[in-house]
Amino acid sequence: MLFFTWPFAAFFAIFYPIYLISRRRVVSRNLVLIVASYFFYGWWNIHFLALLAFTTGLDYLTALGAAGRRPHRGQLAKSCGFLALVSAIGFALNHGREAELLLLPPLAACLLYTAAVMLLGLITDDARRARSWMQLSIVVNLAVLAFFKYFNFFGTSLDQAFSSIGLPLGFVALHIILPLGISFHTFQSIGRTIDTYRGKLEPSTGFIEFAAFLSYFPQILAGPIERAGHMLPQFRSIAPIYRSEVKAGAMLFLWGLNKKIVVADNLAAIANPIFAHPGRATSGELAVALLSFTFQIYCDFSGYTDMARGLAKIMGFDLRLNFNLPYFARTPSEFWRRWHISLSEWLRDYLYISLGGNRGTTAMVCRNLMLTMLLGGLWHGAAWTFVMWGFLHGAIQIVYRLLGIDERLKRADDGSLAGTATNLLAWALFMPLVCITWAYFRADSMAQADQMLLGIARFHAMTTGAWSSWAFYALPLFLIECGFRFAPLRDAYLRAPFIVHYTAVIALLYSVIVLTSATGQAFIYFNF
Amino acid sequence: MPLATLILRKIAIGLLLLLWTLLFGEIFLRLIDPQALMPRYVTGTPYGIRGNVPGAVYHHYTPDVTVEYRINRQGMRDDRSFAEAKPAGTCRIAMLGDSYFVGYELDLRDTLAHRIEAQLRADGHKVEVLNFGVSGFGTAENLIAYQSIARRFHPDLVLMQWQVTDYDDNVRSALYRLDHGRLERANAAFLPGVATQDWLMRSALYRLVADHSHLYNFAREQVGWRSKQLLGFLRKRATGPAENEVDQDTYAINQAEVDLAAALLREAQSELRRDGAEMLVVDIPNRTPDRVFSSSYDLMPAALKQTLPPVDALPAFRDAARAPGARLFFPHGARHLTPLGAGLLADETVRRIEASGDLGRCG
Repeated sequence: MLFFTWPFAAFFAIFYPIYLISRRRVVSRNLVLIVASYFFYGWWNIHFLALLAFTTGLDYLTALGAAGRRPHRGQLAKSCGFLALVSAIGFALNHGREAELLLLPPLAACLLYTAAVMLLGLITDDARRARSWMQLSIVVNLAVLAFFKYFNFFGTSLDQAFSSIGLPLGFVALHIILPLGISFHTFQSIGRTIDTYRGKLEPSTGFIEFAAFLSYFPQILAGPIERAGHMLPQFRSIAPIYRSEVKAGAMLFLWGLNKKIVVADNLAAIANPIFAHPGRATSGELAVALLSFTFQIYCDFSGYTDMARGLAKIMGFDLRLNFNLPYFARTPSEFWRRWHISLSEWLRDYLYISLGGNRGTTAMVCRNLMLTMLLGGLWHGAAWTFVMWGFLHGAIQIVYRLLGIDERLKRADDGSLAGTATNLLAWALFMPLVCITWAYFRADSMAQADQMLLGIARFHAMTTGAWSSWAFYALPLFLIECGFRFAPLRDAYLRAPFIVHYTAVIALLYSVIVLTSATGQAFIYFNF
Repeated sequence: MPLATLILRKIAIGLLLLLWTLLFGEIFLRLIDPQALMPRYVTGTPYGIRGNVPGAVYHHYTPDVTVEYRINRQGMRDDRSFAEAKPAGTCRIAMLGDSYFVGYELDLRDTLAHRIEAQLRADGHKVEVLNFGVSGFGTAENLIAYQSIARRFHPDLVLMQWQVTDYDDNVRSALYRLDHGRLERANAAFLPGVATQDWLMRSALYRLVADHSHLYNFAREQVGWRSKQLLGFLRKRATGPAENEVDQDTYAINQAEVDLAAALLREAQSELRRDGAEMLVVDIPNRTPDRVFSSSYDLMPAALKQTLPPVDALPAFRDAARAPGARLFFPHGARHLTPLGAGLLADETVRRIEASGDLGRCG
């Protein structure tokens, strides 16, 4: 159920009035959210409802344990009961079929919860016990993620490696369906447990509020990866919904919708055929395809996030900013402060800092940077192209750090003409690097990405009619984002009379109605 | 401020905003995505089907062409009118079909009807080609058009258009149905939106908007397309489960649609034979993105394909499409045949007519 489809429109039209009525009490509001979110998630595949309930039950207990508490029987019963209820509903909706998939794993999961509560409860040392709970959360969550996302990738890669030395392992790839949004809600869940372990967050004793937080439908499929510290308080109280918030939310949704179905999907129609057969394209066509994908990936993902944030606003929730005009970045560190901010910060807080962060020798910092970026690449997908993408970003970051470019650019921010020119030059040098990395992100294989980049580097027949198609969708977006980026333009718009704002809204509406791509695409980040 | 003034002021602001919204939409479309302006001048007939508005003169504007349509007083796209009695020694060919046979996006001289007549006359045949095509028709409406209108003109040969949309059109119109394999009339009329259209066409302002507004034409196409989808969906549900659907270039065809279309063609052939006329099916090739084209007539039962082999222009289309820049269908507008495509189809039709010897019998 994608945000821009009729089923979602019907779903939201039914859900919203019920939601507004349920807001009289926190519990009823949260229960309505849970039911709606599980319906939303189960619409895609009911088999994975139990998996979401499993993560909820597990991390409810682990967060309590990681905070140094001993989960008691009542809390264990909540986790098991919730999992059993969701599994039973899933089983019933599946017409009582596939009990081995829908009932046995939840039963095993309940046994795991029970064993964990009993065994870890035997540890008398509070600190050790808390650490064990935290480790259990990380190990189990990552094991689930690894099974669904990386099992075939690592199996095949190992088999190929051993085969090359004459020792084939005979690995047989399993037919595994990747649960939608698993990377997002797994990271969200782990983050919460670590935060409670670190003492940054009080563990939630309310199971319902935690279940509502983890399954919250606007962001369950593709983020932002929310922090419990930011979201859980919103599930503990009912904030008023102001008319201005609803209007702002609707505008944000419309802007995201535009980015997704007008810009991203139309650019995909330009990029896809060229990426499919790079050998047949001229340098110009290859460059257009790469630039098209550069804007497509941004509009696809940030469009989804804008829609999610807009919906949340309409519901009286605040989701964090996930994209802050990343293509205006001048350096890699600035880029990662603007691109997929929730993942960047997650990787910084839970991986980079855990590895040592900026402490230690230059070599150690470089190692930490590279490891973080490699794992960040692998988070996106189980393929060597994503690892390469992460490696390239890691390498670029290291080079920029060694040259101290960020420090130099700070001195250029003095408003002078020379400073502006320096910033422009830095931007013009950095953005092509970002585009090059996207070739690996988009390509089906390393060879295909190499072929794309080598083809562009030949600079053969750079003029092609495809440039105008690309410009038709990309340039207006770029100009509008210039308006967001530069304060005088932004202020002029904010001060403009009502009719200008009204015209902006109808322009967006007409754009969505008229220019929607004939070939709609699912969100790219659903694959991750 | 008094309440009445306040309300009036709000209404005035609302109307001004509505006007600005429409005006902005018109400007937006003209600048960003100019539409094909293709008003349809069709109205109801006493026979329960649509017909061209007699005597109408109108234009279609697309990014590819500007075309004038002149409808004669008998509802045919022609500058001539025809006596019902057939002139002695003349063969009459009636063409029954939809916008392809009307000649949408083609000047009169490029239409299939005009080309076929001209070529046959050049080959020494004394023929008249009467074009009964009406935009939106399926086989069911073609059959009724023959029974109620074309039959009066005593055609010796009927060219029955076949196109992929006919499968769906026949079900959606619900004029006929199959009852245990037997074709029977289901409804007396299928006049979608005709009453509204007739009412609107009385207004000169509406005609101005319909003929020139990009926003109106965009909205009409969207509403028409979505209504067609919804109606087709509902009718398909009524005719039975859509099992064993075959994908035909974005159209999903089910067995019930194939059976109904085949029955309608058989019925048309029987009626014509009873009247002493012959029938030839003219298959409009399907557009395909890779320019190889395909035939939706392939889905018909083998027995029907044997007794009613269609005019098959696929080899000629495929051959012609290999030439650089060759366009057999227009890329914009409603993407009908170009003069090149119509010429190829007319050549193949003439070849089939002459090979059949049907004209020898009437001349």
